[in-house]
Amino acid sequence: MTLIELARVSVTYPNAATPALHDLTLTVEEGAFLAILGPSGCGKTTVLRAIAGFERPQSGRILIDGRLVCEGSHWVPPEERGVGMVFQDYALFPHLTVAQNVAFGLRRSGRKGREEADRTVAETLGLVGLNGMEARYPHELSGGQQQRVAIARALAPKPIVLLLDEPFSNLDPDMRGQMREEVQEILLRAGTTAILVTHDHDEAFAMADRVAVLNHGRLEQFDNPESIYHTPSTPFVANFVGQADFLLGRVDDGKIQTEVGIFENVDGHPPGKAVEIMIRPDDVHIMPASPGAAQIVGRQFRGSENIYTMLLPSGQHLHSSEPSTTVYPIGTSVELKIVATHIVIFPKQ
Amino acid sequence: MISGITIIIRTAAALLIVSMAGTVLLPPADAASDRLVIYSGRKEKAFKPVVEAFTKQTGIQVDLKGGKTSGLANEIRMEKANPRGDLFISTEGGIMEVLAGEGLLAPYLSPVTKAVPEVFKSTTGTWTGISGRARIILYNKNLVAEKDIPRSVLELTDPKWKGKLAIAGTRERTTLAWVSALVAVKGEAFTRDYIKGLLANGLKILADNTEIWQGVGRGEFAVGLTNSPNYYLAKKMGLPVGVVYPDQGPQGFGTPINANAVAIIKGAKNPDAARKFIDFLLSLDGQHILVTADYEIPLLPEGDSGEVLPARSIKQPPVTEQHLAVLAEPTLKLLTALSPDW
Amino acid sequence: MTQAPSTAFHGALPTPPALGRGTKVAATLLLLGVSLMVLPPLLYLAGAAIRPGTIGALAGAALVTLAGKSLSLAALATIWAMTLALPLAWLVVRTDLPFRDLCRWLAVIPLAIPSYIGALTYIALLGPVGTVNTWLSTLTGTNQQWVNIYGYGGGVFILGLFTYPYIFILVCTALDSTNPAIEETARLLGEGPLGVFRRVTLPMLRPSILAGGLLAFLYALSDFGSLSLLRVHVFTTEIYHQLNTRFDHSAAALLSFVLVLITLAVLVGQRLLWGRRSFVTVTGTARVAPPMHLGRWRWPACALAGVILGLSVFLPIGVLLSQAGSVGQFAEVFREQWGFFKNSLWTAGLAATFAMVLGLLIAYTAVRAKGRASASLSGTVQIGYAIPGTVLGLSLILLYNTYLPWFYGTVGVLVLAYLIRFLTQSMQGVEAALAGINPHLEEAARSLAVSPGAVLRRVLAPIVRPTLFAVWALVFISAMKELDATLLLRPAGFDTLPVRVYIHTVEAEYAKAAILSLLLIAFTALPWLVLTRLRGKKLL
Repeated sequence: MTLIELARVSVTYPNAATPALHDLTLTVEEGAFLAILGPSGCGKTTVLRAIAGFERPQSGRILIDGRLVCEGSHWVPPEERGVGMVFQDYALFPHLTVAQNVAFGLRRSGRKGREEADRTVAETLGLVGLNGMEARYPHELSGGQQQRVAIARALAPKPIVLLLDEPFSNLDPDMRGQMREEVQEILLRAGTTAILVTHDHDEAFAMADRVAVLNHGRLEQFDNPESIYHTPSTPFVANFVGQADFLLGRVDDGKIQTEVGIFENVDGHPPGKAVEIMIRPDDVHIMPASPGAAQIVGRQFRGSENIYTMLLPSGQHLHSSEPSTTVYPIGTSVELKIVATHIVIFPKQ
Repeated sequence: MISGITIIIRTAAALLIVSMAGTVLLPPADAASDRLVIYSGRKEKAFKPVVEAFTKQTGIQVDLKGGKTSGLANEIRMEKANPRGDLFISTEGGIMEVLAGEGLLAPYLSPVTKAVPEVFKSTTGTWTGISGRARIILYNKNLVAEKDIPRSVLELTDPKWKGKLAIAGTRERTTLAWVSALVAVKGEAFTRDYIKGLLANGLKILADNTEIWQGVGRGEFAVGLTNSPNYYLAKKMGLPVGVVYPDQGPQGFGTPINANAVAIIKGAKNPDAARKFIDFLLSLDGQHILVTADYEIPLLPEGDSGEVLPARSIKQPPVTEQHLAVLAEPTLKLLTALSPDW
Repeated sequence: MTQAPSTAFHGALPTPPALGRGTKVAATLLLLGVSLMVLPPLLYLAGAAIRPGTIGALAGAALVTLAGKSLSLAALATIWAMTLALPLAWLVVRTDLPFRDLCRWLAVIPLAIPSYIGALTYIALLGPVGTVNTWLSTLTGTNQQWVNIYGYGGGVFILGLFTYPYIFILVCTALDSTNPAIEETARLLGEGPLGVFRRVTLPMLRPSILAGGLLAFLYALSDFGSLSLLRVHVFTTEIYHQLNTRFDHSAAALLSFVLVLITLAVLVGQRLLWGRRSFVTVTGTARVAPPMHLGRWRWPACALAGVILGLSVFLPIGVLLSQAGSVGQFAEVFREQWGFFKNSLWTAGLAATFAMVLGLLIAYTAVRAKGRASASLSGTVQIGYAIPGTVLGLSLILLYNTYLPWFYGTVGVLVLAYLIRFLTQSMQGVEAALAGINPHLEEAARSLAVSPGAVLRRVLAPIVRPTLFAVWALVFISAMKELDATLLLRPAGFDTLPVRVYIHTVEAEYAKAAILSLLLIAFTALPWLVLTRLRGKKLL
């Protein structure tokens, strides 16, 4: 069932010329993990803050668990929404211990209430793997530990949904992968619906069931990660989620003619139309051959692979990803073979 | 986990909150019927012995509020709708006449007040003098030779006194009264020229009379125009000072004597105690303290003046307090027109 | 292991969380309450001042001269205070000056010495018949007046000398928290220490210098006690003079009104020129700059610190001690005037507590709530500081005696006067502290179902607790020292320590005045001492 629903939500900051969010419509199912992906300034944090109640949309509707929290003049304040939030800088209360931080949002009246709260705290700390740290203060913890406390604190009151604002950007790169897995595990165990905001497409793909790509306040695509990667709906999405080249082509004789080959006209573009075909480096295989269809003009070593930049006779560039066990020197003439499972065609702008 | 500091803070806060309520809700001390509230323009040091003796004799507690006579008079005016004071004590009578004219004083006539000479009390019984101060010339014995001692205030415009004179400004009402007396006796034009002459002679105008007798005593000034008690005060402190009761000669117009006055404020909460206090002030005991503690001149004919020159020995100019009251405002204008320091 | 996370916020401040209707109502009520407290005296003043005839009574030229004199004196005193505060602050925070922690503590003591007491001691030293003159006269055999502290120059000297701690404290705090990386970068780019100070450190310090300077300036503009003792002719002394010589108070009211207008103009000007945030936002570095080695500059630096502290602390206290007399006299005066001590402590404590709580509420509203209500709130509070004590006393008497007689004449009206005058100190301090806190902390709390009021109580107040204590101490000291308004407002028989000092001075009982001054200074320095010790032990 739909847990979070945004319907045509627009947010404009005061003194801003353009809206931060424009006519956004999104839904999140119960138990799902949504990633909101986009470059800085695209409005993704604004979505989070609107759901949490820290920004007030100028128009649109927001429902949380079927309850209308925002529409026109009706507006429910943050403390009544049942939404948990983990901030980029964790925002732990420096004057409270770990246990006190986690217990902060729990009702603690009477002895019974306190006992129950203590139990919840212990439980939640166990969930994030921090048992034994109850008496520590935030400044005594490492970055990863602080993040876990922040998550525990948000989870303790059993929120309807957990919002995470770029939670891994403050960690060292090698920590990130590990933390992603751990957080995923925690959320799975807790069974919490989650919305993550990030500018890192690897992150979004690794963790989320659904991804919403935002650009300048507008929703470009809302789909599962595979579809976003393989069948992006706009060139922006294509570029943002991975390396992409756009091969010029022309509809001719029912097919699309390009410099490197012929492709199926899967979208049924009219004859004579100029189009661009999205090609990912992993779709392009190269073999040294003389004479070749292209020449290698650049190489980037990426650890497990080499990304070769090739110059086509027309002057276009293509990229190819090959395992790094073999190295082709710059200047080599190569043959190209494009094996695309999906053909993504964009009309030429 | 509540730390010790938190407990201390919380207790302190609770205590303070309770006292907060206390200040506002509890009635002020003087609302209790047995405390007498006195506004005194006189020096506290001098007046406290009288107050303490009164309390000892009658058992009535007194709350004393000290200040400058004019300032207190202004306060009485402002508190008109709801007077907080019972009694007003001033350093001269003119201001009393002004207040009486505004209907701010309540008359009191008693057998004791009848004994005070007419010149030192109100004709309508609204105030009475309790003791007096003469306008004298105070000089430093080390700086003024025997032959140079001035016998009249009019001599002070002589160039030999240039830069060596000091007087208190009109914040001291006795100064204002003195100049008003001059106007009454010699006329406005004469007085204006005289004051001009003094200013041209470098007359230094200070804040109050204490600075005058201290300044003369220390040698900062050779001559000061001030009130008689200050001579005795300076002498008591061992300062090398001498005194002249000026203009006493056959042609002289005399030395003005200002009366310290007392009056009951209209609408006082404690008029009975106020009347008792006035009676005490004018009793032999009260007069004795005023004379011995502050070297004031007793006004009652039979008063023993001790060290102090009694009123009957001093020739005074024929000016009434009523007249001084009338002259006060114009005299003030005259003075301030000549110098802003007045 | 991470660095100690500051509560500071890095980067651009996000917009604060939108507050619900309830909090906005509370904000408006607060504004109403504060306005009711502060504005009626001003309005009365305007009413009393703008009457036909009074304008003529005071010549226009005289008014302009007075204004010029008052403003220039305050400005020069402020510059003098800055000259004292800056080098000392830099030496104490950034160098390896010997005993620098002690110096830092000592440099605050002048705040506990009321300026009128300071003036007293310097008159005894540098007056025409003071110690220095007498000594030089005997030395040279002439009777010449070598130094004379009376007058305009003396006023500048004294006022600057006893207000420099305002600037000192703020600059020290700023120096503590500036990022050393910025200055190190400047060194790498070729600037010597002096150049770094001039081109990098000084500009960064500008907000605190200006904030402290403003405090000193306003103090100098509204001070009465010391300037009257030093025989300087300015607005405040003229107002007092008018009150005590004229028959009606319209002239005094007019002068007061003009003075308040001038002060308001200064406040508005300051806001326009240097913006709303006139304090330094903590940049939140964990790294502290290593102290600079003075080397051969050690002794000159010590001498400088010694002179500054000597002039402002040791000399005045020394003079007072010499005038005070024996220990027996001390004890007797203490016993005799113990009631007045209680009065001072009680009223100052109440005012400080009220100011602390109210300051927290107002600062929170000003910093977090949106809308014009909150903007006018802090402005209204600052007006209270601008009203000179004598003027405030005058206006409160009339207002409350007429409309709320049961309140007038109680100690409550005295506490109210202190509150009106000093609330701004509390508010500005707390505002600075709150503004430096990461807004995410509040948002996190609210997402955990905590109402804004509870956020203030459970999250913000505990974090700014050190500031709350500091602010309490500041208002306590100011209220303990207050003379001008207390003279007028005190119920009969309810004198405070400053009033007693004044009375004994005016009645030439210098020994008693000195003893009481020393006790006053001790009682005001006490809270400060306790605070710094507690902070040192990290109990706060």
